[in-house]
Amino acid sequence: MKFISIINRNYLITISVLLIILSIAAFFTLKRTLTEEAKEELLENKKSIINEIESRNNLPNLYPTIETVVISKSEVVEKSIKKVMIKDVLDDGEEEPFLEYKSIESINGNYYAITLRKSLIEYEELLLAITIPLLLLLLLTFILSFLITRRLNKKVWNDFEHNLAVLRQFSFRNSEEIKLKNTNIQEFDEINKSITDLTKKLLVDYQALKKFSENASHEIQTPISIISVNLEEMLQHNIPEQTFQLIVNTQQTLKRLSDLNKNLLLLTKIENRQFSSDEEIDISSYIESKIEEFTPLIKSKNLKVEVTNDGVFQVKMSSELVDILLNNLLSNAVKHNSISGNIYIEISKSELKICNSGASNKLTNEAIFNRFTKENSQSYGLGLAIVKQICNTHNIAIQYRKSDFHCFVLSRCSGL
Amino acid sequence: MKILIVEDETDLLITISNYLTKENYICELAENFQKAFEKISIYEYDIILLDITLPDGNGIDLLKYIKKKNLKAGIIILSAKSSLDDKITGLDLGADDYITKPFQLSELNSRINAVLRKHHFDGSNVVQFNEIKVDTVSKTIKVNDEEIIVTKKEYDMLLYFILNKNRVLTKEAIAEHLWNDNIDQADNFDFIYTHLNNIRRKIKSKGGTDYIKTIYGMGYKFSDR
Repeated sequence: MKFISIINRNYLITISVLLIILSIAAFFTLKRTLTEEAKEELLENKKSIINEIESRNNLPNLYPTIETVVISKSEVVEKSIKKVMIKDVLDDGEEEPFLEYKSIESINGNYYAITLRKSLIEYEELLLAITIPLLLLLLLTFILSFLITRRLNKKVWNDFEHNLAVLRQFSFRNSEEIKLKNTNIQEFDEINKSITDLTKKLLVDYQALKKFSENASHEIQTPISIISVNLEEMLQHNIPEQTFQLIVNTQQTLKRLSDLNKNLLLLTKIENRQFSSDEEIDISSYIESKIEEFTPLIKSKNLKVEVTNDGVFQVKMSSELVDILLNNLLSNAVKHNSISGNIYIEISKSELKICNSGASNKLTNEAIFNRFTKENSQSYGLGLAIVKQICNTHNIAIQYRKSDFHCFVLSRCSGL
Repeated sequence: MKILIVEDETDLLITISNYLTKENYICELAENFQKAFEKISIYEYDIILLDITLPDGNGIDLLKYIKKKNLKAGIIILSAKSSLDDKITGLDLGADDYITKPFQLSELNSRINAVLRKHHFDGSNVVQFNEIKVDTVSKTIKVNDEEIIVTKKEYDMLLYFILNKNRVLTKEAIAEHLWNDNIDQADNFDFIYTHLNNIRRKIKSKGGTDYIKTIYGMGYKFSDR
């Protein structure tokens, strides 16, 4: 969940709860205040009535608001103040809420029961008249503040999002330092600084490591050269067949070591995207010359090659990589073929399909492209890993399909 | 023919030099940038074998220096880097060839010969071995002064044999010279045998001798001894 969403969600929940509590509190406080007001008024009224009785001996009666009755001393009337419902005779006879005050007063030696009532209807109306606008006002304030905060958030996070996009696109391969926008927000700028420092350090480390593995690979070639050259010289002497055989075997193994080293280096270089690839290359035009190159191998296994050309399969790739790609795929198709087998190559606008006959294997679509997956000790299982890596770095999907034939299907990833 | 070998790995330097001396070249050695620079400044060479990575400098700078001074020497870069970019850089700067380590001495010899022929083709465009003459300009082969018709591969193979006469050449080395690197993935090298037999037949048809000797079924030697 986005930071803004979390903030907004929490904000909304808090505000809703707060609004409900506040309105309830406001309602009751107001109600209480108004009731107190009514009580005070009743007490005031009582004083006026007592005064009236004392001075004029007049018992005011005005139902339902004022009732004054003379009572004997023995009669017990509870002194109370409460809310009652009384039918309003003047009105349509519906029950209406009144605040009722009952009291017994002794004036000039007589006892009077005074009952005073006050209609609460107007108070309730007043209560609503105050509470509702207040609530609306509060609601409006909250909505406004929510909108303002959101706008502000967007502005504040804008730079952050921009920096995030920069981070996402960052790659060590470009060996460029990361450039983050200054946000003028202390926390963000501190993170930016940390990230910039970190990537700078990683970049240096990465380049050192890359340089090291490259140099190591290259340096290995020199001792291999010495061994190779010495072996070649040993062959020039008069040596028995067994020794000759041993030297030739050693040469072959040395060649494997050297190729392995070269291929690992190549794999790293492809991973690091060290091959520029601005040119669009028509693969079909390369296939013919590749098959030509492989003719001795194809002939030695008595293979039949069929090429179907249904369109132009174009890739944006350096010619060196196209060469390596086709090389590895074709040599794979030849190497794992049966004697007098077939190779089918189908080229269309969207696909390049290279199929070969051959004994079935247990390799799955995933496993076959893994490094060092091999069927026999003669290969080192890097050829297809290199193919996969080339495809991965050039937006080409590659699939291994197994039916009667072993097929490798290259297709362009759509939308990229 | 005078050759300067610039290579920081002494073992390799000495083996190459021993081999080339046997092939009748006069070799001078330089195991670092400074020495190579001095020698290039003072003496003239026909061929300079140049290692790119030197302990005290870059072979590419030597190459630039040689080209700047307009020296006539043919230059072959010996490099551990096999990538096309390095190759193109080297060749763009005026190197004649680029050979990747590890390499076969017979291959190096072939390349040196090719560069020599390129630089001095006045008169030296024929490689001869007894009754066999290879014209490297018209790419034709004559046996007892009669031309034999050969394919490109057969021509390359015979020239390779003659340039590396009296040397044991393994099938792998021949295959690598004639085809590119993929060939070493072959299970067997019978296809070499086919080409070889064609050459033998064509030479014999003009009364030539079969100089190609099989060594234990694993290699060949072109020799009249």
